[in-house]
Amino acid sequence: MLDGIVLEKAAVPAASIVTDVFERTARAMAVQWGVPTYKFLMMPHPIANLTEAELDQRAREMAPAVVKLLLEGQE
Amino acid sequence: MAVELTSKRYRVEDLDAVEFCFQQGWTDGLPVIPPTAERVEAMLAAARLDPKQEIAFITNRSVSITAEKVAINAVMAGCRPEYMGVVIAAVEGIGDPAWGYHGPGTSTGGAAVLMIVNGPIARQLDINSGDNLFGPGWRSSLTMGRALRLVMRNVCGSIPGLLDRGTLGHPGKISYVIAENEAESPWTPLHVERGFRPDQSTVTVMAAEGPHQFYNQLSPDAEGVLTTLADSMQHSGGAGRQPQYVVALAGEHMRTIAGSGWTKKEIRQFLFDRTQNSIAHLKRTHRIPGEVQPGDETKMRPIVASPEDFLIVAAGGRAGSFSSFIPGWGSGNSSRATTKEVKR
Amino acid sequence: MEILDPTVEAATQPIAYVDRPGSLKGKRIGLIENTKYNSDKLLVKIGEILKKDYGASETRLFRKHNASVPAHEEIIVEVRKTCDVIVAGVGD
Repeated sequence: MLDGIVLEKAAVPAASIVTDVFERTARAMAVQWGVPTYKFLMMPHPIANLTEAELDQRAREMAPAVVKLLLEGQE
Repeated sequence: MAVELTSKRYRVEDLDAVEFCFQQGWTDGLPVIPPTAERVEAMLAAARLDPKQEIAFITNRSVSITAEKVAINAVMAGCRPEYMGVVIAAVEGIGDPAWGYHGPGTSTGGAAVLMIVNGPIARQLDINSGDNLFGPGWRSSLTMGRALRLVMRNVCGSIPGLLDRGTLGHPGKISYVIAENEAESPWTPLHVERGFRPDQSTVTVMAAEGPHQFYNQLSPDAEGVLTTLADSMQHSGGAGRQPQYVVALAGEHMRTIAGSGWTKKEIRQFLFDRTQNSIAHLKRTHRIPGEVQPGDETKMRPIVASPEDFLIVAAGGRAGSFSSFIPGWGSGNSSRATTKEVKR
Repeated sequence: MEILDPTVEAATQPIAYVDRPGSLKGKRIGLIENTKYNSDKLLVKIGEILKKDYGASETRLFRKHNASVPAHEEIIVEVRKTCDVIVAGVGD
């Protein structure tokens, strides 16, 4: 999450992904870093115990949103 | 010195002040001492600090911790002014990049900040090194640890549910302060091992789980006591994820181990050798991923990278066949114990 | 009585966001994983889809040694040299 903010500060377009249980934490980090409305993506938690097939499925589900955020940006 | 405090001020009725602090979300769940300018000034004066002085900058939170903010939170915690130097050293400790604030301050691992005090200040401030080591009763121990946690909450944003996601946490997150029993210990004190002079006072901070007690009443020698300890430690924490452990050896065990002529060095080596697990076992018990491969039964993994990663302290009551080990916060090498001098 | 605020309010630090690319065609994608289990695999899989379906030219995975350290301390220079956009995750 912080990596995305740091890279944007370094002039690299970024898309940050967190798992949904950490939404409030990600938002609090954004506030802490002075960008309270920073847009980021969420996916269901957890990922540590997903099978290979489930990870493939998850990647397919996330990819369009990643592309959209990368091309639309924060403004 | 003319002290200029720049923090925002709130006017409250005297009788409502404690409740006001609760309502503002400034507390750890327990009542706090309302921080008036007078009390804050006394705290700063005792440590001879300018309120604007930066004590630590937490990179990961993009926040500067000033002496004024530490003093306010120390007053709230119930510290006496003479405790301020220890609190300052603890804040410097968690601000050290080696401590890596974000991990232990945020992680689901729920670590507390174990503070180990060494040197003359421990006796001057009556910081507990004996009976009920981790328990209640000592104002200095409890309020100094509390002050640090309030700084983490109020200045660094480590608020449960937001930037503090400890799944379970533990009671040490309210306060977790001990001193090494240097008066009775036969061994080199922790701070001297870590490069300080005996007459210097220091605070060592380590991101830590709760204390695990182990029991051995039967053994008359070091090997016996430490065999039991090793057996308990072997499967603790992540069985290899912790960067460091603290081992607190209390009175009876301390005397038994010293009676066999063992130093902290021998203790560390013994524990390092005896707490290893086979890769096969770690896979079978789902500590690490993967199917058991040929050769895994004999490939051993220690629970820390080197014997130096066991921090041994003599601490705890004189009577009772119990000592304790404390796993550090388990995430590889993301956070290591740091030691800072109590300068004031 | 008058009591002092123990908290620090986070200052707004607006970012001057650099322009977004019009599409991902031919773009080099940096993938910054945060050391959590399966983060790397998932990012790599997303990267593959960005290449296959959206025309990205290449992907590169960056591993942080330490989840506590912001990316900029280790890899920012490298990322700016070798990537056009990045995907970071998965915070857990």
